[in-house]
Amino acid sequence: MAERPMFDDEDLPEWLVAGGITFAGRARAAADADVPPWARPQSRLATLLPEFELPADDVPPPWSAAAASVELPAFEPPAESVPPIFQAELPDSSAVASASAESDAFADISAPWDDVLATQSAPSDDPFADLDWMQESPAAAQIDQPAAPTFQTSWLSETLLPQQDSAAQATPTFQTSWLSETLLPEQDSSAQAAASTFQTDWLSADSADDSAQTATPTFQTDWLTELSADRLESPAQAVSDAQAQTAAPADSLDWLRDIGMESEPALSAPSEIADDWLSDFSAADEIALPDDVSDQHDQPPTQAAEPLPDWLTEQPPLVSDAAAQAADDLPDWLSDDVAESPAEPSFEEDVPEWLRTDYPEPRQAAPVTPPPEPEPPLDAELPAWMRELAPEPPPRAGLMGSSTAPDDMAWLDQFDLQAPAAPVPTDIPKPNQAMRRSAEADIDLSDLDLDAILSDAPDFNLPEPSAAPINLDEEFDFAALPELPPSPPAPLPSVPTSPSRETGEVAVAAELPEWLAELRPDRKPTLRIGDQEIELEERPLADLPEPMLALRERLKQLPSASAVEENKDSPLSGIPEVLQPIPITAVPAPLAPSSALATAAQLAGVQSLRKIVAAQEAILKQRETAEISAPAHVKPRARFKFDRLLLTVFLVIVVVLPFFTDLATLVPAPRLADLDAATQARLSAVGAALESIPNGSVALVAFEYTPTAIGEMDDLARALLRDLFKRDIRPIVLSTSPAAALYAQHLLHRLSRSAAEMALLGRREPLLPRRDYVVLGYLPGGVSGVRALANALYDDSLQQQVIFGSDLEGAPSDITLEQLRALRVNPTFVLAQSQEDVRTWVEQFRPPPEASAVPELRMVIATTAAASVAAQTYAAADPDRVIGALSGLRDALLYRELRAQYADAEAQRTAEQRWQSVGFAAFAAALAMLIGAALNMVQFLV
Amino acid sequence: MTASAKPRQRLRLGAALLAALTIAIALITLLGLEPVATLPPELNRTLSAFSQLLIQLVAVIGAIALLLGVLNLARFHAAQLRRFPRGLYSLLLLFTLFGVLLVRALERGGVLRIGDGTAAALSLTILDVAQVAVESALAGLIFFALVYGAVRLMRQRVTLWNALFLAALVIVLLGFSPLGEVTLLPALREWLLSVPVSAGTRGLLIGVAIGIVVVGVRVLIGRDRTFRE
Repeated sequence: MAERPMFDDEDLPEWLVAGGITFAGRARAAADADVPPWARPQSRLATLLPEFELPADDVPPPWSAAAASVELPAFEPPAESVPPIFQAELPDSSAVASASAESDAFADISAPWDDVLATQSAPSDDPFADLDWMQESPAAAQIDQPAAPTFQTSWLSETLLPQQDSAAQATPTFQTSWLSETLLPEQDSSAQAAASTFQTDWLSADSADDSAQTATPTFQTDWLTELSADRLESPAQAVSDAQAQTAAPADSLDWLRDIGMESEPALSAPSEIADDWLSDFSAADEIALPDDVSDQHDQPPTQAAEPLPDWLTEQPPLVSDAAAQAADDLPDWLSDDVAESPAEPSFEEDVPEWLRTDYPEPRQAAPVTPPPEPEPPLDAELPAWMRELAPEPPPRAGLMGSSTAPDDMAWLDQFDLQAPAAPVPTDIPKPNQAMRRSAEADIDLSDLDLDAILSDAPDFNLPEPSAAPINLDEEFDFAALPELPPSPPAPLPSVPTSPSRETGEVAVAAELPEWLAELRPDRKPTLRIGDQEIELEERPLADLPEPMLALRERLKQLPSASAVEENKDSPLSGIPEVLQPIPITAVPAPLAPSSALATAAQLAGVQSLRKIVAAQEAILKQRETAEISAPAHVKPRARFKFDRLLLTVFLVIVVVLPFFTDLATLVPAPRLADLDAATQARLSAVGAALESIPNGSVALVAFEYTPTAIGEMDDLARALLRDLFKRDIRPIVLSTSPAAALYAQHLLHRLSRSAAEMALLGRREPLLPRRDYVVLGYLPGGVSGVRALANALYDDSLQQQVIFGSDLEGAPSDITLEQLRALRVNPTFVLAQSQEDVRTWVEQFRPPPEASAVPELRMVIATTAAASVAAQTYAAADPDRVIGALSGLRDALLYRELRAQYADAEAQRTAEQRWQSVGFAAFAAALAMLIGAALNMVQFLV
Repeated sequence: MTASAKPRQRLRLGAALLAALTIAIALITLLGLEPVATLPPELNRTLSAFSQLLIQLVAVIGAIALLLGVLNLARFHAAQLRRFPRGLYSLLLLFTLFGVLLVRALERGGVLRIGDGTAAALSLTILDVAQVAVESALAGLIFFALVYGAVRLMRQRVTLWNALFLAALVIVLLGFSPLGEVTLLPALREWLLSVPVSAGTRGLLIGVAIGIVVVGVRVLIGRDRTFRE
């Protein structure tokens, strides 16, 4: 594989290559140098442009044509109009340029175009420098211009400024810079007469003025040059002298140095407009320019005729005296004019506004004062170590805040920024300035007498010092301390013990003061227990709380125990340092309760608590005695609520009204035909489940509702039971609630004793318990009971005996095993009141794990309206196992209609009346709620 | 002695034994109700039988607990007899309790019979007259109390939730009323019950199931509160 160079021109974009910028350098550019851009190979983008058309070869470029039409005036380099700050080279450019390092930095920029093209050197900073079409200078080509000065860029200038080059006066060269806005005209070395002209966009307005002066190079610089146009001579002369006198290095283009602080050689060529713009103000001093310079500046530029602004004309001449200028390094306005007091007012007026500060009050230039002496210490008896810590006097701060300003910034110290540059207008009174001036003039720190000031201060009635002042220099006299209260005498040992280390320590401790004896930093207190020695961390005495300190003091005052003579007969005789037995005597406790260490607040609290306890006991006693004799408490009579009574009466009337009137047309009973398919399917599924039970079989019925829900559930229960009895199915009733079990028994008894029901069932004799139905009674355990019931249906003899053995009466139920097996297959009817009952039966009534082959235990659920949603949820989740669910009176009526359980019309009418009562009650309740809500809302908002 | 961040609880022997016993029984019951297929069938059958026995014991214990509750109630009200007249209600309750027990015992003994034996037992009559009537009346009064409360709902303050509650209530009642047949209220009522209410109920059931599982796990790992008390 051919090796591909790392830097390949093919990787460059088209536009870059068209511009001549390639990795290969100028080789390609040189090859295309003779080819105009439009003739060069087009880029792919260019070919895509449909509008692109190659211009004719004979058609000159637009810029050349435009330049040909417009006759630009010849360039005339201004002589004195160019401020020196914009000149990077001195008139003696040959000498300065070589010495100027900075000018070398711009060497490439200032190099003439010809040199660049002729040498074919490395690409300059300007990437477009080698373009032919950019090299053509219409102004330079068309206009015969005299020798124009060279221009050299300056970092401050937007454009190139003309600069006289003594060595190449006839070769005005311009060089474009990538920073420049326009292309500057370029003159060939041979075309010396061509006057260099260049125009920028913002200078194009003046091109008309310059066009008349074809032989005069017009140089339009920025505003500063305009300002100095009127001061061509004097500024140039002044600045040239200033530059000649300054000795600053020429390698810096600091604008401040250009003003005249640098020691630049005098402008040999006055054409070099190396004059300070501020030198315009030194109108009295005019320095004679050399002839060659003066000749070149015979024709001032047109912009020089513009008058200077007033604020600049007000400025005093920078150079008042050539001698003074020569003597001083700085111009007058930069020099410190403090010594020249008469000149202050004029100086203040001559400082431009922009150079003035905003200080309202001028400050007198502070003379150089010696550093203030440190204040003598107030207390002459301060020890040396405190004196060493005394703060050092602050150093004298100069104008700029530092007395050791660098030399290069020393000129700033001579600024008197405090002095106003202009006279203060009289219409604006400034009393503060005068006051401040007077105050500042009067106050002189060096002349202050602090002692006098302090002595004039009012005397405070300070109390006499209680103690004598302490001289820290002298040795502390411990003997002068107040004596401590006498400590209780140390108990003397009864048995003379041999001096030992411990006793010696005790003796030493006894000699020293207690507070000092306790300070034993060299060792820790030790606790000796038998042969064990434990070092303790001693807490300093100051860390003890106050009660402990007080206790300690009191303990010291305790009388010492009387010495007990050693009993020589004791087994401990002869043993040194033995603890003598304390005689058991009845000694009153030194700390009596009354003298307990309790504060007054604590004692007061104890008294309060005692009083409270006593008061409570008294109240209890009074209650006990008063309860017997006190009369019966009379309850306050409740306020009569008319709105509640009115509402109750209204609802009662609405509920009772259907039973006394015929409102069948207003509230029709629900019909199966009016129901949707889902509801019909639900009801049909219940009927089908019941139909699946063979005749004469048994069915488990769970009564899970109490008498509070009989209004909703009784109709459903009756309907299901009727259906079971009608098909000779023996219901086995049980319940997890004792009350429900009893009510089930009661319901079945009533059902069996109703002739209408028997007639509907087609029976002549009433239903008997344990023959036609079985009420097993209460199933204990709740959730566990239902689980046990499910287990009892399958091979569980014990649980079968417990649950199915006897009924509610305690008599045998006579349930056989076959019936138990039938209960597994036949659906179970669950009449639930609450959601909890529904969940219990649905989740727990399942076959045991070992009976996986047996189908699931099915159930038909009939619930109240409160539990209907839960039942429907389970039914929707497992429709094969949970059948239903029936809810409320409406489903009961529908089921009765479905199963044709109306004995006659009267029974149906009675049922419909109940339905109408429920409907009207619901409507009345809704109406009452709406009216009440509206009235209460209005009352609330009002 | 340095103070610890959490005070240590002294382990009690009774709590430890209780926790161990509970965990073992719970684990066995769980394996019996949901046998693991990897275990041998005989072990599963044994565990199932043991779990069923435990459940039966729980049912028996529940019955005994009910009996104990009745006895405790009688004891308490018997203690209240000393405070007259406050003890009058306790006296009435005890009288009723023992009176019904006595009647029932006589009926079971065949001593007390009404009519020819086909009539309802006296106990059932008392049940019907006392308990059923009173509970039915209370259930009926709930209707008036709820309506009156709904009417005065906006009297205290008018809030968005109160208004929303009242609107749902009115929609359900009017949908159930005869006037709903001529409007869209029945359909709106059905939608209200089948969508929002059903969704809330499902969420409630799921939450209950999760809570039960959490409690069961806490019991199995011995972190239940009853072990610490």
